[in-house]
Amino acid sequence: MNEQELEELYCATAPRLRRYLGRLVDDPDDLTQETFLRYLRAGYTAAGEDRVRILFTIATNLARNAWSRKKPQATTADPVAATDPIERIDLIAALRNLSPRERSLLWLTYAEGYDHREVARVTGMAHASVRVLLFRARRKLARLMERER
Amino acid sequence: MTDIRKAFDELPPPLPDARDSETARAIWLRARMTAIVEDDARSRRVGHLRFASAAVFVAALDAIALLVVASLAFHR
Repeated sequence: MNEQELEELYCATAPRLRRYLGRLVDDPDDLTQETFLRYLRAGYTAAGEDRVRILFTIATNLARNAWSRKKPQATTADPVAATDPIERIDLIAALRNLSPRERSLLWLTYAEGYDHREVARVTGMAHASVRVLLFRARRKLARLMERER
Repeated sequence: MTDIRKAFDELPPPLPDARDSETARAIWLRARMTAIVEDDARSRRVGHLRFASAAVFVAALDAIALLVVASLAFHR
């Protein structure tokens, strides 16, 4: 990959990654840049949507490391949301009450449109686990959104 | 029942940042610099290993030569 290709990939994908990471960690900008840096250093040769999936996988792993570093606050608050222009939306408020893993599963499925198999690949979880956890997360989110209204 | 898919669909699209191109160039430079530093460290490590292996080889050869000389002297 050359500089021009990276610039094109970054401009096309960074906004999606930032939005995803914004739901998971305090500093989505930093982790977005780190994601691309790791992608470059690993020397992947994938193309098209595969590249995006790899980037989401790296981002998920980085976010997971960030959660494990600050576990106590991880499930209680979403610091990004305080300054988020879309905070008023019920969904965002409800997502803040889910665990980072649940947010990640729901976001990849509904915002990114990945199917169970792709979500399993990105998160490194078993396909069956994704189905079960996603079902629970969906039910929890629906309940929370009902309560928000 | 809340329609989760609809709620996600109603989210604003991902917003590009005006500094994205600039950030991409900075990442490219960082990756290049990291690669250069890592290559340098790797080649230094390889150099040290080569030197160590040459030293071991010379020491081993020295010991073998001594053994051969001693064994020849003994048989004479």
